[in-house]
Amino acid sequence: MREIPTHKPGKIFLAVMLISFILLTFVAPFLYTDRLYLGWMSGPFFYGAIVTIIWGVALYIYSFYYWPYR
Amino acid sequence: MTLNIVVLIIFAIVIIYIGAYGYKISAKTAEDFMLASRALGVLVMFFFVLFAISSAWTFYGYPGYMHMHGPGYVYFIWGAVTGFTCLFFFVGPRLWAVTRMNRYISPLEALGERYEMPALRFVLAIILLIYIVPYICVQLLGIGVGLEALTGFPVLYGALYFTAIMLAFIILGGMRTVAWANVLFGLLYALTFFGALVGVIMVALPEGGIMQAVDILKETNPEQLSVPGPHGEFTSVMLIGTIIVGFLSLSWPHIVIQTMTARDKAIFKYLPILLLVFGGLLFYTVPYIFGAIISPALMPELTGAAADNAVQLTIMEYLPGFGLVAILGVAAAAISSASIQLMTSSIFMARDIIHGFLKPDMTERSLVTWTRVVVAGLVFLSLGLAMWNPTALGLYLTDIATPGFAQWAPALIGGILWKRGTGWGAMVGTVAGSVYLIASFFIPQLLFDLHPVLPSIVINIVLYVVVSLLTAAPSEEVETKFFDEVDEYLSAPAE
Repeated sequence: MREIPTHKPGKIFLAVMLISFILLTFVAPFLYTDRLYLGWMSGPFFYGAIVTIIWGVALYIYSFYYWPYR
Repeated sequence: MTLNIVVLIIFAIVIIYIGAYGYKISAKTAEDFMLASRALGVLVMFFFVLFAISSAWTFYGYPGYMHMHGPGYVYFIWGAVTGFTCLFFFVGPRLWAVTRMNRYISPLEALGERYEMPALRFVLAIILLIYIVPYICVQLLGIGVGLEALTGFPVLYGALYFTAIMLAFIILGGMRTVAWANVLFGLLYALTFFGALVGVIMVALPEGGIMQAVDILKETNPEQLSVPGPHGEFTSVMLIGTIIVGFLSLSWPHIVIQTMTARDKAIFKYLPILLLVFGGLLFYTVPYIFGAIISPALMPELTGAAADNAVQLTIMEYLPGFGLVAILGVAAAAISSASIQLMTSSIFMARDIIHGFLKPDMTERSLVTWTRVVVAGLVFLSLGLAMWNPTALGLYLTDIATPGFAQWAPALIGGILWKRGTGWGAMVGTVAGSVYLIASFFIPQLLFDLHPVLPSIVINIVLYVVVSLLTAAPSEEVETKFFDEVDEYLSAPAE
């Protein structure tokens, strides 16, 4: 973790992870309606899945291409 | 009934065989018994971690709560998945490196050295043991109750049966066997859970599957499909609290110790991604669909305590022949969690308390023996507690164990990532947070209507930081050992 903010890709990576988590935690709970996504997914499930995918992609790109300890 | 007994006997034989094989190939050292010689590869680690996390709660408590209160509880899963990802990517590599280089066997041993305060090691061990032992009880109780519902065996018989299996393979093979067994348990659990979901949908909802269940709920109970749920439980504030509590699962000691068993640093690249994709998106979607959609549509009459068993009762109603397989799958999940919890508690007791303070000159062979003795003692203590007051244990798990584990998180994360963290900061923060947590159960006003973990962890973190800044900085030796050498080790090419 200490090595990550020492370079630009690391700062971008941390920003993506942090912002997406903050949006899911502190913003989305006030915006959910009774809408179902893809016919069966509730808002909390759908947006949590989106953030999980974002984290997975960010982790893959950073840890395989930029992480100083890779 | 005869078939049930035959299957249970075969299951026991397979598990004990794994334990015996683990004993045969083990190096008979403390490091091998307690940490599988720090040699676990990515595939074993993935199953080990995912199914240590996924206890019987993912079959009973989690979908059962959604059956009653709608889909909002999924926020706990998103919190937990992101929390474990942070543990294995941000904290894990450094903890792995420092414990590997210095041959620490317990994370508490490492923290005692990091903070230059042996008493902190003792205090952390006691606090974590208080919270983890009842967690084991709940797993045993869950297995016993599940087996009783299926076979009619008294709860105690089922709990004793699984206790005996677990005891045998842990005492024989240690952490390595626990890890391998988790691969078997995980596959069994995942396949039976997924198979049960597909089977119920094909039998009970042949015209439209999940969409047919959604249509039923739109007609009969539309609040079930969104937040805040049928009883208004998952308000916006509740959702925020739920995901934060889930995130703090990263401090579960039986998961933290798994970072120390990795074979090499490359595992910390793969494991977080595997947990996110195969854990968060795939595996945990099964109980979500079951609890939030299928069981409320098919078994709306289940309420209160019966709702906890919603998944099992739905399977028994629509797939009566699948009941034993499903229970074995759940038992596998419970054993996989309970075994690593038992192994972790035994390491804390044997390595940190007995070896660390009472018998510091103990030989390695004695340490392994003591660990085996402690495993046996703790499991029977857990069983006794489970039989003594089963009702209270459900509350203990959600309201005490999870917030309790979180109390060492500031000391752990600060110790690994923050050079300025001091022993006094860690001690004061941990003790104050723990005392506040316990006090809040007698004086509910201290919670300010929040989840028990939130006020206590805020107090813990604030005191940790403030007291650390007010006390003398750690020595240069600590900075070298826990930061400079770790950076150097992790930067080197893979071994």
